[in-house]
Amino acid sequence: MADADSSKELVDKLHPSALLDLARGSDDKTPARFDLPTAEQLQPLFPDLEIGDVIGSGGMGCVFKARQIKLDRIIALKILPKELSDDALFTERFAREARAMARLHHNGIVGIHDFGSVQDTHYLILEYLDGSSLRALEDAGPVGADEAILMIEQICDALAYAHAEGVIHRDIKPENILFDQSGRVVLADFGLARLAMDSSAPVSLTQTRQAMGTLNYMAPEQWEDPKAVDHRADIYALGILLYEMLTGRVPRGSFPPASTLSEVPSSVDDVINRALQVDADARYQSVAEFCEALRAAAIGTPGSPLQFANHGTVTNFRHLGAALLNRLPKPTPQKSADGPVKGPWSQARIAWGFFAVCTILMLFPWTNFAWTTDHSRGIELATTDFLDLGFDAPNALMFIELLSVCLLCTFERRLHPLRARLISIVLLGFCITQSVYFTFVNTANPLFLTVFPFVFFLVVCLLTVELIVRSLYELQKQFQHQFVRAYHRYQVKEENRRRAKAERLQEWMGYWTNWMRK
Amino acid sequence: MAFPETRWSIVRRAAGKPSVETQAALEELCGAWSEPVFAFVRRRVSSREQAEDITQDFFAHIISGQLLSRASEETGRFRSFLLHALRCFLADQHDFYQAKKRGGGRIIIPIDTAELQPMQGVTPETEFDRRWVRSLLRRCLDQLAGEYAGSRRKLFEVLSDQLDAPEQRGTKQIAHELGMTDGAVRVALHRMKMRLGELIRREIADTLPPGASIDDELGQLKRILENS
Repeated sequence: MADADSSKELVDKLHPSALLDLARGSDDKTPARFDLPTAEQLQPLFPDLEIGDVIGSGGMGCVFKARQIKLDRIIALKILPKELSDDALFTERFAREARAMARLHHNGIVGIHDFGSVQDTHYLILEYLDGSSLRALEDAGPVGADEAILMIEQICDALAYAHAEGVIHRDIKPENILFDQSGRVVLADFGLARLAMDSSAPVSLTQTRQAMGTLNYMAPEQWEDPKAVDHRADIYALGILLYEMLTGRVPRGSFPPASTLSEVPSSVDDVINRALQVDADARYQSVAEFCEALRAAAIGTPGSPLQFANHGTVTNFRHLGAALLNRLPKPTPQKSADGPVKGPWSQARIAWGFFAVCTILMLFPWTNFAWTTDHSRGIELATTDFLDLGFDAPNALMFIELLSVCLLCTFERRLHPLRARLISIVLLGFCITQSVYFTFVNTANPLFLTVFPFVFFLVVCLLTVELIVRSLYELQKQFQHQFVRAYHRYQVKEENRRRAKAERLQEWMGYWTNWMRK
Repeated sequence: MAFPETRWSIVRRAAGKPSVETQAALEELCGAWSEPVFAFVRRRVSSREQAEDITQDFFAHIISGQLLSRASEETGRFRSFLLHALRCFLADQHDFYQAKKRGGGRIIIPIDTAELQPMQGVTPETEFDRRWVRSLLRRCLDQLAGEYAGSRRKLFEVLSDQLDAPEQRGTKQIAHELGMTDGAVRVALHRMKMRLGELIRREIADTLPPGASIDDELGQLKRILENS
């Protein structure tokens, strides 16, 4: 009965009229832009889930809290509005969001478990966060300057990772920045994220100047040329976000410097101004650069109210992680760290080029010279026409291999990286075994190998080796990421230990000086 | 959009043909609102024992379904119905000072009678309404406290003092105590307030007929508080 007693005391202590005010209009706060489905309507579609309350809704649908019965874990179920499911553009965006998110594994990015559609209802199953959004925090009261900067640092960490993975968020706004009970800042809703290198999508997602991002946070180029948007649009949005968190309002037109409205040094104004440049080239060119500048501006001024030394060690080390990661070989605009190379020398184009050249050459009789695998006879001209030979065992096999490599290079992006890696290893193994067999083992039954199949062989080997090396590079990058994280954890622990020691020492010194004074 | 059926609308729909389900819904409703009824009766009689007896009898009557047919047609609110029924009930008792206990099938509704004193200058109706609001808020706070069970209990205990404050005070200190960030504490408080608002709306909706405006009822309750 302790509960009942305490709430009775509580009701006497609190002002009843103020409590009633809390209830005023709380139903109208989330205007239903779509005919949102209810948990009861959805339940039959998801027999594996136990669907609970709506936890949010936005332009891309609504989110329910749900429990996965089999795994007994709480997840967030995101439902695409049914009215829009027929729209090819919207459905494409939905699938794109899922794929873009699935590629990102970061502590500061909402994880995705699954996506799909049941009876025209498109859904995403996401990591559930028992927390709130930055919007709620801003609604709850002004965000302090030091807190704002620490949060921006964490957002930068996550964004730097996403950018390195070739994913642009494109829709950074307080509603999409969540944090859990422990204060971990998490980026959600890569709904408008478009793979940085995927500019040749069959269905262009930005055919018109529709408001893809939220207007207040959109960089000018998102209006002017939505297709040309790169990661610097996110830096623009970060600038807006920072200004909003510091001052409580969105910068529009000629806005007062943030330092006049909040307790930050004026050097922070310069950081904001540079992030908000209309010309993307005039902005910071990477999130890490922005973060670095902000940090320097916030703590570099003597007498700054921001006391970074006293708290936020974890965040600072997180920041260090972002900076370290950023020192890794950076992806150039043409070459992304992940996925096939774009531009005139893309792997797929080289492969198909070879394929075409070799096929054309085969049609001419002068390509018929070859050598035999009979070592006693040495190199001599083959007597058989290539086209006759072409479908004989070794040539035909090599022909098929080159074709497979071409296909693999072309569709690698659609494959799971692990699967692509496996296929390329199998191909390479097959090639090597085959050439060893026909050159050294099967000498009793001499065959004629024309020159071009050998060129095929070389190309196949080179391309598959390249695929494997790239996979290894990716693995190494992941490992490095893990290593940097472990290093932060170690540093944080070390820092805490050092601080505790210093405190003890100080205490002891204080005691000692007091004693001496006496 | 169809309105969800509240406990009160279940009772009203089934008026005249009581079933186990409606009986249970009604019992629950009455149990929740015993405090304002008792406060009202207590203003009319001199001794606490009598007031308790009458309150018990009144609820026994309602639950047995005898008074349901008198439910106020024009407003359809449970609050109005209860007050109206109570007035009729008291008037019907020729001799309610010597109200006899009615035997058979009685349901004892626990009434919290502590610190309920007759007050001067307050009409029984006002007192009824005031107690009604208090009861309502208490139930909502109870529910809210129930939702903050286990590890989040401490959070509720620390933050519940500030539920009525328009501004947040000392969140840094609280954050330090709870080992959370200042932002997390502020959001927790904001969410707690939102949730309480939701619970209050739900609780009020439960006593209104379908389609009635919750905001109107809220306004009325607020006026009651301001006038008393």
